[in-house]
Amino acid sequence: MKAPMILLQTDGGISGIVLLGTMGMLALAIGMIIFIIFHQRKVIRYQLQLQEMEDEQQKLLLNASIRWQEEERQRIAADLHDDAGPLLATARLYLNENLVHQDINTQLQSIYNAKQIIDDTIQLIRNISHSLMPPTLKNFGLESAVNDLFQKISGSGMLNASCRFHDYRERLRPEQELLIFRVIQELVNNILKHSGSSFIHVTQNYDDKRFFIRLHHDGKGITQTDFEKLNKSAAGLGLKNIQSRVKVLRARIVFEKDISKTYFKVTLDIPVENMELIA
Amino acid sequence: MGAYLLYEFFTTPRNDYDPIPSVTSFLIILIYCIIFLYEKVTDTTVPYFYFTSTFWVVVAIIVYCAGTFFALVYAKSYLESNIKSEYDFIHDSLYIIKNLILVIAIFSTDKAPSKLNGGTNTLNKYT
Repeated sequence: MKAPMILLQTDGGISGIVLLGTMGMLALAIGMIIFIIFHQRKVIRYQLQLQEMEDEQQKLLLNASIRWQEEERQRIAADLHDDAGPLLATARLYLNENLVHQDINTQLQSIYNAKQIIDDTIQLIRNISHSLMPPTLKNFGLESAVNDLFQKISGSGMLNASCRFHDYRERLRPEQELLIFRVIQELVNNILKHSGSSFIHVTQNYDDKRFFIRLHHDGKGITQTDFEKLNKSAAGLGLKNIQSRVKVLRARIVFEKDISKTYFKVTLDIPVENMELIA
Repeated sequence: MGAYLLYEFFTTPRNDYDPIPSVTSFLIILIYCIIFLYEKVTDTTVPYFYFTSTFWVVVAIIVYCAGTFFALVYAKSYLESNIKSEYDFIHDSLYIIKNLILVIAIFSTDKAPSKLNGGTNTLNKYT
């Protein structure tokens, strides 16, 4: 400790080295503390921004869901009011009180017409009911429901729709099947409306505790970036519905172009832990 | 470290001051404090660490240890040159600062301001 002694004695006051050292150490300590505080504030700000974005996204999804429900109600109301209402009113006209004063042939004709109209109304209500909850899905499962849907599409002659379920030995829970079916239905609906493709092909696989649904088409499609962009915008109600259903399933949906760059591919990847298979 | 300090305690003459154990222990305390702060900064489950009393206690220790570090190194020289008042000036000022920071630690509520409370949940959700 000779050197410090010399320094202290030559200075006659607080030695320069001690003063500088103390100042330096204090500056370092205070600098480090300030850095920590600012770093934490930055992290917090970033997390708050993330939270706000998440909230915004949730709000959009919720709005889309509400709008979709309203549109669905309006559609059902319109179907009932415009189709079932006039049909029943017409049937009522055929069966009015004056019918008893008419001759037997007219009475028979009126009853026959009323019966025809009531049959049409029954069919109409059945169709509305089936569009709300497909009976095939409820009774026979997802594979049959998708097959049924694709047969109807193929039957129209507009495009070729096919599906193949490779590993679907056990049915999923009804609400999960319905969610997956609605996602497929919405995707197919979008393809029919916007893509102008000549075929749609759906495949199902089960691999490494994951349930995959893959949909291919050769029309104009969207990629993941487009999907995310549309999800964040006010437009794209159907896509937001898909997103909220995927979220309920805790699944992942990926929109991409096939490696061959010829087809567009949509992959729905559902972890099996969330699927609770039923016999 | 403990063994070394004990060894120094029993082997150093009573009327002599050896700065090495003090400086070593201060250095180790500083290193521990820095590691502790680093861990807290990287741990996103504790987003408002600088609102906690622990943070201010650590800050007090760091400021005190860092500030008195050089004075301790030269403490023996101060004692031998009869200019203890200057050592006292450095030591006492930092002692007061340390105690003031500890007061902040005592009065800190361990809670983030209400406007940031939403963020806490966010961070917990993300981790």
